[in-house]
Amino acid sequence: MKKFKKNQSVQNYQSIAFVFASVAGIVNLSSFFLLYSFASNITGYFAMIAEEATSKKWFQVFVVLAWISLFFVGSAVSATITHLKQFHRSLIINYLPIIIIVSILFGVSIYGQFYYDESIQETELILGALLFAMGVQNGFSASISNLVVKNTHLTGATTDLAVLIGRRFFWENNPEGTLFVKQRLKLVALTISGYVFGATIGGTFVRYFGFWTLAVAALFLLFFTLLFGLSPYFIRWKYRVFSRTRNVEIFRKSLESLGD
Amino acid sequence: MLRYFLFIAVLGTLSFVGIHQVSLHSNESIQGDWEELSWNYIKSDKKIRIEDDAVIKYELASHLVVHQFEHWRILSNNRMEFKDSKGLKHSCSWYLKGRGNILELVHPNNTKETYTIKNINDSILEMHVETAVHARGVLKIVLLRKHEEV
Repeated sequence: MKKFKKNQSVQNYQSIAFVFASVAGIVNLSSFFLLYSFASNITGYFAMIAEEATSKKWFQVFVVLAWISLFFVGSAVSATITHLKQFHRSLIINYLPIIIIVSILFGVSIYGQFYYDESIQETELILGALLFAMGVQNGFSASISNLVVKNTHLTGATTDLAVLIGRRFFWENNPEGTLFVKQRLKLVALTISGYVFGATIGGTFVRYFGFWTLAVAALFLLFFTLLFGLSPYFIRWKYRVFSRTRNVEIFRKSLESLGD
Repeated sequence: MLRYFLFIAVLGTLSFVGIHQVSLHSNESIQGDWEELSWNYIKSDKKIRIEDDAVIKYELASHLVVHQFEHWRILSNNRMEFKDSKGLKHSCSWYLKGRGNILELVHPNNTKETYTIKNINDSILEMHVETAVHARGVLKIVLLRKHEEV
């Protein structure tokens, strides 16, 4: 049973990694094509601060700092919600980060499609909202996976990939270590391939559907959340229904035997 | 817990308000009259100098509508007017994108051109355009602000 649970959590992490990385890829490419700036490239933004500071463009330094702060705030919100789950368990709190992300993505796609008049204020605020959503997503996946899954952090993932390939194929002899390395390698590979998959979808869709591409990302996330997230509730419900019918059957049989 | 919540709420609000206020500045700094000062081809596979060569300039920048105009007037209503030395005129819409570092021009036939603003101050506007006409490289366009004569 313990082994089954362990395997289940590994598979959950892999699913989370792939789905969230795909969403990050779609959002990142869409924001680049629509707003000319990435929505989850925090490493790049830290470099940008230095670049803008050396050119003494203090207003742009502030904008980039604000974007990083919004990503940070998003991650902090997720961590706080995950922490709250210890005291108050409910379906809404469990999925509050997903609700926030999906609402922002839908909100931005509707605003972008109908009300966006391409001013720099709107561009920077929409980017801020998307960075906040990506912060929430990254914080959520990191919190629920004990800091194992970080779906927008591809610099770290690429480094992990290099180390893990070396350990897997060249110098890991311990069987337990090999199993860990294999699982971790699969997780990192799924994160990277999910991101590339999402980015390809985002880059293709954005040419035809504009801001609606973000709604596609929201629907994608919603669909897989319902599929993976609600499946335990579905299984429990099926079990209850099944056990109830079985009880009724046993009850009916016992009545029949009494009649005999 | 409450203090942490307050901290992230204040930080998030300040970031959004700050972005809104700061972006007003980017919009204003680019408006005005500008005059073409130089065109350079940089970061290229080949060494090409085009400052004084009108033919090469034409070939490298032929995909850009603005290459034929020397005077740029950037107006506050997101309209932009171009004029060449013979008085020929062209107008389009302009938008700042990214963190205020991308200038997007939308022409009446809906074609778009994007320029990366590398430097902007009271007198100079330096923009880069990626091109792959002759070889990979970047076109560096420098404009000089025209101050109104008193």
